[in-house]
Amino acid sequence: MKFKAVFSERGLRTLEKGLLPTLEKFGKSCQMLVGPEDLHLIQTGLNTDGMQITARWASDVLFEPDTYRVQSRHNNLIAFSFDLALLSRVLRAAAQNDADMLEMKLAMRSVPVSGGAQPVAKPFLTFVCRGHNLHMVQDLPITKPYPASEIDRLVLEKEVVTLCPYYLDLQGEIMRLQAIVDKLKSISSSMNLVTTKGGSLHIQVEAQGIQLGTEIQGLGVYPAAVAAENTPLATSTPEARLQEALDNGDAFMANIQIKHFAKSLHSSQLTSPAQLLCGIGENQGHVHLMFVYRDPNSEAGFDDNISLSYKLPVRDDS
Amino acid sequence: MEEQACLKVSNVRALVTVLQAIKASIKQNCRLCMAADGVTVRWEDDSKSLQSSVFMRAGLFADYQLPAGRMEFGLTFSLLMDALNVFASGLGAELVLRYPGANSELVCEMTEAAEATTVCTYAQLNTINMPQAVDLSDSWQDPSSWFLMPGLLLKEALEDLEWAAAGGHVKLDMQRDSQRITISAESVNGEMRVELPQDSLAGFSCAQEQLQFSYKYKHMRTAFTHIPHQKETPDVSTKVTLDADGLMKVTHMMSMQSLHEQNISNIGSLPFSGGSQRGPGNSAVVQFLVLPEDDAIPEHE
Repeated sequence: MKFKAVFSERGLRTLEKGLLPTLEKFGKSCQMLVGPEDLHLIQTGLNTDGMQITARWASDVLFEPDTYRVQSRHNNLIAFSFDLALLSRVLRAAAQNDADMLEMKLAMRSVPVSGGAQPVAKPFLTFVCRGHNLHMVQDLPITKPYPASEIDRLVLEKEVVTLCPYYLDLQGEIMRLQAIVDKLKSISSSMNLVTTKGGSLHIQVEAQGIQLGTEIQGLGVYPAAVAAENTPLATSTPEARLQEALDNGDAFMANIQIKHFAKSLHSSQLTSPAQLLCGIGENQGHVHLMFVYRDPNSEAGFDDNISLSYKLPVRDDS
Repeated sequence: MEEQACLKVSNVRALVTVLQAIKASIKQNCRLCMAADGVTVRWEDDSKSLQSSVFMRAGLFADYQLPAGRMEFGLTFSLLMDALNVFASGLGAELVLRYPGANSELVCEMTEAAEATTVCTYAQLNTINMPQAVDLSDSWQDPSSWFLMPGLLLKEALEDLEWAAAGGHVKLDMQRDSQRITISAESVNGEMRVELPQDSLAGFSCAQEQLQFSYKYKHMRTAFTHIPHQKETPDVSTKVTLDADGLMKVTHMMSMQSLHEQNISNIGSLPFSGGSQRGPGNSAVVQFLVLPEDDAIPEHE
């Protein structure tokens, strides 16, 4: 089992400034899945309070070309868990010392155990940092690399988030949504989220003695063809429009925890996405937030070398 | 169906600030009364020895349509505040309040149009049947004594007294000839007296040589310290009136104008009315009535 790579400047920047702080919002630990094509950082229900976060880099974006080696007996895949705060500390130390180069590799090291028994070999991610007059080695303890069955589970889990039938782009309304959703927390712990093919997002909360809702009309719909299927609405109040869209089969509804949605919105700007797409799965079993980034090397295009997505669990008892 | 009352509020933040000054505790119900001259929100403490109210003149609202002469209903105060806070988080559009809705609820609506998107926020608050509380001021006994001074000074004085009162009582002392007003408290923690600065007095009248009454610190704190912070509205003028038996009436005049000015730099919204008049005509009136404690029955014996 071998894994060794040198971070690229862009890879390190997106990890340290964007994705790592994002992941730290959702849990203390994280799972890394390394493969020949890409590297995933994944948080599942084991790491969070129910949400799933998946971050992915194409390996030639995260690492310097030709420095990336990964080899294992299971399809050249390696996976393990580690502590996010420790990784964050390692990267900060490298940045503070003006490292020119940061190499990451998987290593076993003998660690003395208390009581004077035989030293035990334990797995680490070793970070070697080189710069002007600098040679620093930091060891980040990790769990034992996953057995084949566990790797398969993780591969499956990261792909559970299949695409929703359509998405609404929330990026332009993010501040407004954040402000509203934060205030909703004092009313209820869960909310109904509705997306319509006509480009409206509805949020509704209900508690003893109060019903409150908000409707945002005019959001971008992706794929655009879906918007054309939408039946025009005849009613004039937000609640009637919501009901009409549901009756027409032009809307999906899911009941989710407000704290999940609020946390998602709050963390969404750490990675400055160009679009924040929000969709509800076809069976209305999950809410999917997908981040789309601009390609730094071209004016027009979007970049699928880096991706981030959140999956919010839907409450069953609704 | 009964005809609907329809009130429009230009500045929800100002409304929230004013209502916060009465600070009813969680789950407490308040009574909202819409009448031709304006809206009153009333609240009574469970102990029945503290009542508060806010009065907002009809002119403070951007629009004030009241078909019937008078409409009254009960609301859970915290739910009203929760809902208004959601509306206040917006860009400052006009809030429309309607009563009664289909199930005699209070209906709130706001529509904000931005460049590409339109945001509609709506809420329905169930109303509650509430027996009319006895108004403490009905038993007001003349002659009255009173003084007038900036509310923030009184707020500070009461906050300073907290450790000495230790949840017990505070005494208010007025002397006619010297125009001295002292607020004091004593407990196991010690004793503290605050003499209110005479040069800040904007008015003083004492019906007797000397007056002294004792009040629950908790109630005094509610009555004096929930006025908005200086940054939000710098000129709260407070009048404290005592009747012959020590029933205390605390009246805060909260200028909506200053809320307006503060908000211009913030979000460019208008006060309730969008009007430009200054002075007491543009103020909300927050009032507290506090019963004195009976000194004849000592508590810890």
